[in-house]
Amino acid sequence: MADVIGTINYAHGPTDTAIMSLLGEVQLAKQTEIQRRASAVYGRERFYAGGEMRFFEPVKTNEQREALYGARRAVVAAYPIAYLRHRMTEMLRVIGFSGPTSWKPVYTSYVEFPTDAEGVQQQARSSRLQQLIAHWVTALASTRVFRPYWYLVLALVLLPVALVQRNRLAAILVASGVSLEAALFFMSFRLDFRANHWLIVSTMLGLVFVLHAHRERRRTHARAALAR
Amino acid sequence: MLAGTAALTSERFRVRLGGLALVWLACGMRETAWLAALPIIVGLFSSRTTQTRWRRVAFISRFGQRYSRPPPRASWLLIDNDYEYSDRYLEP
Repeated sequence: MADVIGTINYAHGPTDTAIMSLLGEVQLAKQTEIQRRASAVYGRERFYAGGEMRFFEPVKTNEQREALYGARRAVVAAYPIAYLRHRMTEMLRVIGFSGPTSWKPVYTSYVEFPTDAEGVQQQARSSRLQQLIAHWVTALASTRVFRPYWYLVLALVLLPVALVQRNRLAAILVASGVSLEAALFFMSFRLDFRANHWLIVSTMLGLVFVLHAHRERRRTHARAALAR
Repeated sequence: MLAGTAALTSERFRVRLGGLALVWLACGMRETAWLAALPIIVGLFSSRTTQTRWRRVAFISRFGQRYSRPPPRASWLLIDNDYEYSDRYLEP
């Protein structure tokens, strides 16, 4: 859904008829002013197939899902530049480069919205220890610690450094994190901080290994100088 | 993935095999996780064959695309529900 709505949002002046022919069997909530309605919900995943302003009718059967999947392929093939612009926007959101209002990496409540507790018929509360941890984490939420793009930049700096150092483990770990992050360019569909966890873990470990190797090298040089 | 990476750095071949199994299990956690596993396996896992690195990359890429997902029973060890549908049905 995200790719269809995102691509239509960035497409250059498509008519309703042109879009409808690409969407095929997919059921839209309304079949007029399609691009304007796509732009209205773009980036607000809850409204893609839910609520008054929804773009799609809720998908229930596998046939409807297949139709949506086919529509995605058709829309992407028809508007490849718009698709890439949409994917870039999504990627910038996923790595936390977008504005602070849309970036909420820390969730400490049991459910996202109070009304959701009625649905699950349970209202869990955090323990005192969890509350303490949540307090610290929430305080850090708006800092760079929770902005994955810093880790991506750090990883891109660390990778050549690790290669120059011939630090195999550090290079492999950082390459692994960057590789998974690169896949998010095409595969991320919602704003999830957790999608960046492996990048953050692998980059920080890579940093430790690189710094350790640097320190060991300096020590070896110092010992060699003393021996002389 | 982290435990598998650590095991793959071992001198002992059996531990490395265990690491390979852990990385394979981790690949079931996300549809693109095999891309994260690729540099780890290519860089750290060396079998006792005389394969060149590029042959290993080619082999693991093909293997990863086809078998990157462990069977549902294996994923059940780490997550609390069996997946019945392909992810593409969830987010087309």
